[in-house]
Amino acid sequence: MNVVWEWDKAFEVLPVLLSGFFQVTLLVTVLSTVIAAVLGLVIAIVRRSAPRPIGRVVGFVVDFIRMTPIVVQLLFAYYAFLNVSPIVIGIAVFGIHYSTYMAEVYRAGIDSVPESQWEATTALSMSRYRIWTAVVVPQALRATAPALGNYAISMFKDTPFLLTIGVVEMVQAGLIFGGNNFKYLEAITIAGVIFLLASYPTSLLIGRLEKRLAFSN
Amino acid sequence: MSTQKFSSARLAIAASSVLALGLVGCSATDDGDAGASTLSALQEAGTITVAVADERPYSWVDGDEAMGATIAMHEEIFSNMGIDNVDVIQVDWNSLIPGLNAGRFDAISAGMSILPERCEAAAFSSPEIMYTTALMVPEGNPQGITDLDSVAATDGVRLAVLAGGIEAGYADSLGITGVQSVPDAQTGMDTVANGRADAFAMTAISLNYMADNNPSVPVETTGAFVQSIDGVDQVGAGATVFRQADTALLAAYNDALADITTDVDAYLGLVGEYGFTAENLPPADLTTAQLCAGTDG
Repeated sequence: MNVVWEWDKAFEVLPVLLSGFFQVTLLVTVLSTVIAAVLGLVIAIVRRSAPRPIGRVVGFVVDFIRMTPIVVQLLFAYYAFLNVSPIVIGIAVFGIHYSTYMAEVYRAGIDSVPESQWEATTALSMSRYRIWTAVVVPQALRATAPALGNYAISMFKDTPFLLTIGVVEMVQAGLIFGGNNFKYLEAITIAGVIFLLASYPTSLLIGRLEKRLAFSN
Repeated sequence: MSTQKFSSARLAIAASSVLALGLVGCSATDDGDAGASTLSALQEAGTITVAVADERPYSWVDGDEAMGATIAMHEEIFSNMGIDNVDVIQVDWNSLIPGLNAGRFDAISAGMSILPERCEAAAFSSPEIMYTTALMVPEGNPQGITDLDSVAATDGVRLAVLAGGIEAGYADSLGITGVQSVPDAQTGMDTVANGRADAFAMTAISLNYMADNNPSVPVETTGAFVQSIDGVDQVGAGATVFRQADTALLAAYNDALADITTDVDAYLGLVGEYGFTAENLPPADLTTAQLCAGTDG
């Protein structure tokens, strides 16, 4: 009983953790990243080009979301939308929360597009739609892709907060296993290793992507 | 070079002190005489310390006073064993067995279910409480749910279970999807009351106790049932937990317990006021060994 680490428990908990990882942790990360990337771009464009009152309102909402903890937002949505299943709430809250951060990244990317490019679009009398889709966004994305990737990793590491709204993701699955077997160390250690094995290669990839985009600029 | 040597020496010291801690931890419970000495030491001191985890109506601490069915049972049994005073400390549910093995208390008074994994870690007394399952549903039971089979058969019933609870395993085996997991019984009742879930599965005694003590909450409980999985009735029983080394204490406890569990009136006299009925009295032929082996009685 007093053995600190038991290998057979470690092998027993591994499939439990992996199933939690693929069925919940990875699913939430991927879907929320897509939501955050799209919604973040919309927010950035609205704040830059919509009429000032609308931009102000959006700016206030974005600041409000960024200044409150994600756990509070998860619990708020959990109790406010009783008919929505917890995992859908998790995906939506993570997506919206991180979209506010990604919007700032896009803003920096848009600002990095040289003024001369904007002037050229005016000279060519391009439509608003064409300015954004053909000139600004493609150039802005180049500068922003690495930072967006870092937020995706950050979101990935925040997924254990889902346990506050009753979603059994990888860490919660490990804690339940620990409670039933009185062995927490194995579960928590392996969960940490799985996080590391998933996020470290991703960050290396993002680093390479950053270099490649920088060279071709 | 010298700093490297220094740091590896420090590492060795750190590693050996960790090892030493581990060895001390082992030897504390591997004492061969502990079985006999714990019982006599407790009788000499006249006091036993038991742990509870706020599981109502089994055992909980209200202000300074310990209350509940297993507390009532233990005050009677331990006094029959020559230990007049029962000290109660409250800990987190998941710390019960680790704390027992670490020597922080001498027994667990929480009606803990006898399960094979737990038997590997600690020693269970003879069965004390039979568990049946029930469902908490909104007042009026709009979906007409009676048991977990009807939850599985009815479309759109959102079921809540305790995280890590035995009902979570039942739901899994029955193929019930979209199951929500709640951290405690109170949250389970809240999820049904506020409409987040349509049913909350837990032991019948706990659900009935909660429903009776919260008359303003718009929920009710279904009748108790014994869940069947793949044709096998899931019989659950709770017992008092001791350290595996304390064999004499366990044997003396079981002797004193038998006086109560063989006498329905004595049993209900102690636990009846907490909502227990004759159905909760374990049958004489159900043994801890059967439950530890995972074969249902």
